[in-house]
Amino acid sequence: MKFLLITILSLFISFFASAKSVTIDINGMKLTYDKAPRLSSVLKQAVKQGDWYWPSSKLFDNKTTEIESERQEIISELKLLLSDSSERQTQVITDLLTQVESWQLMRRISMRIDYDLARIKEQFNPRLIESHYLLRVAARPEIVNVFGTSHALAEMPHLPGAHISVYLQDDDLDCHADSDYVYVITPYGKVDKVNRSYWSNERYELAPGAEVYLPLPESLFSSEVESLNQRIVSLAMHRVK
Amino acid sequence: MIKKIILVLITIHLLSACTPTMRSHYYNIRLAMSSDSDGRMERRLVEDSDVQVAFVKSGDRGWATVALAFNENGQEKWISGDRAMLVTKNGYVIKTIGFTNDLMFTSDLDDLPLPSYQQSSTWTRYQDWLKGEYGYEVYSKFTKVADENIEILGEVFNTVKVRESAEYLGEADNIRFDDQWNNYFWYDKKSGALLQSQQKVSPFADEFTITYASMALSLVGAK
Repeated sequence: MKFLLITILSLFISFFASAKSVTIDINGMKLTYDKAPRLSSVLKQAVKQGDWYWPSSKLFDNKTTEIESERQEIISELKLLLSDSSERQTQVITDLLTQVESWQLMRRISMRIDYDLARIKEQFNPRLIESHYLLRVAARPEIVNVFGTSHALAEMPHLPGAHISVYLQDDDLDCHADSDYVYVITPYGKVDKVNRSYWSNERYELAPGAEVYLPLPESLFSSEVESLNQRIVSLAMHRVK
Repeated sequence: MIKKIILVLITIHLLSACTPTMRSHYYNIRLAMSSDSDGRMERRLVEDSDVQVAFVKSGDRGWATVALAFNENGQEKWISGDRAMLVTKNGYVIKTIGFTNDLMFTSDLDDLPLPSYQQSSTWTRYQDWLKGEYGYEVYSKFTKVADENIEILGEVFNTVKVRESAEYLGEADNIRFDDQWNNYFWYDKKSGALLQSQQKVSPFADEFTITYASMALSLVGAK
């Protein structure tokens, strides 16, 4: 009897959940679904638009309350650091503050988005429940992006087979080359903390479209900025622009 | 009785997202791969299958049956019973899912000289790998090397054997010593259909041996 009640209840919940509308923006093309679609159904529409490089595709939804609140907390922490900083520190923090404030954020759904994968493995084919989604698909990016405590935001050509240190050799780009680590947001939305040294035992190549965050250097501030760095890079993962 | 009705309701509910054509297609694929052949190449399995099947051997592992799940945008997408996928273009492996290190991307597919290769056709492309290697350039030269009889499921086919001499060109930071290798493709001499291939997509990848069983039997009128 209990089994019967639970089953009927779950069918009812499923029915009413799927009755609400789902809207999806695929590179500007707007789609509306009355029932919660599977990701594969959405990607099927995307493939009609072109031959996409799935490893760098991104899916966002508009549940941004927590993300915006995190951004405000990070801004407050940076301002707190600013209130007691040297001239050199002030420049670094101000640059970073400007970047964080300018980001357009949505909640990134951190998983591999791939039409083939979605069709054969259920865990990569979730049902998209009521919300507004943004799906970004593109051809293979020929660049990587560097942001954070750099003199300027940098878009650099992707270098086949190159260790991450090759990208960071330019002193103008990387004014805090004394940091041991940088953070990388992979195209799948995973954050890696990477030893930047060419001589590091761990070989690390940047994927096309990867983003490198040059952190607030502990040498210029203190070891306490590490958690702030991690929060900034985690927030950056949700960046649409 | 009530439980049976509930199970039927749940099944209908779960399948409601699929069109009848898709359901039938997936059913046929599952059927093709649910045989008790234990991966052995069985003629009966191929003859009975409503979808195209091939037999694949990857590295040291045994033979597996794969079914052609999708044939779209000029690409053939073969899936195995354990939900691995081989994506090929004209029989050439260009993407994998579910292997130790998946090939995620192959560029310059429009330049692939197979199957209508000219003697000494070449192809340069680059590859991205799931385990952190991106943009590795590969150069290949295709050459007809021999006429050869091959046997598939008891039938003998007169084929043209084509050799692909492949080479890693990328000046990667990590030094490799095994940057050249050969792949082979066997084309039916009469129809030009690809019947078998033996291919590695990079020096460090497992070799795939693929036998296009449905294609072979269709050529002798057994399908």
